[in-house]
Amino acid sequence: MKNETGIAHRWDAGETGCGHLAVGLKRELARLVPGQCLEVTARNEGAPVDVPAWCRVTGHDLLHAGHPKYVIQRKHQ
Amino acid sequence: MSEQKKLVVVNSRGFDDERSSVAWSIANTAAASDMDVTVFLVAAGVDWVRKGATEVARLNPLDPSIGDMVESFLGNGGRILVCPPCAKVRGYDEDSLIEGATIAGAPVMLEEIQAGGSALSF
Repeated sequence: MKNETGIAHRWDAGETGCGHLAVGLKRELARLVPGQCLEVTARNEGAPVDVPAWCRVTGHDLLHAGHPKYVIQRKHQ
Repeated sequence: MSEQKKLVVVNSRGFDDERSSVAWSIANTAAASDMDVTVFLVAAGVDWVRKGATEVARLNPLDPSIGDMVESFLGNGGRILVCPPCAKVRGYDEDSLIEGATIAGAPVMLEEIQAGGSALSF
């Protein structure tokens, strides 16, 4: 069911990393309604661990992680 | 699931020290991770919220400008406290500071710790 929502929005984070990547993820996810998916391209070398950690902390679902592409589903609140 | 955790980031470093940019970067990450975050500015760290100082300065070329970091922090619900004597000794009052920065001292900050908050100090 999770994977049937499609991509509602794409964001190229470029080389943005560390805290600035987290700030961008929050900003971009805020453009979606709960249940919609964001595809992020994050080329920073910390992204493979930082993106999953941010999702665990915030409760958003990481549906796909294949560096540099990540798909995050905005959580239902 | 995540419950909202409290974090206090104490920053005593000014524009001459890259560590202050790291402090704000971590505070921003926490605010963007739905944590309840308070930045407590002391000593030279007070300059981070002085009006006019935030528009152009950038301590690390890979970081956003100081103004962008402060604005993003406030936009994500972060709270900024400014140590009263640290502001006064520099000739700053509430009017000298950007919107969103409050002159408040250690007791207010410690309330956050007492309520279960963790603290990071720079």
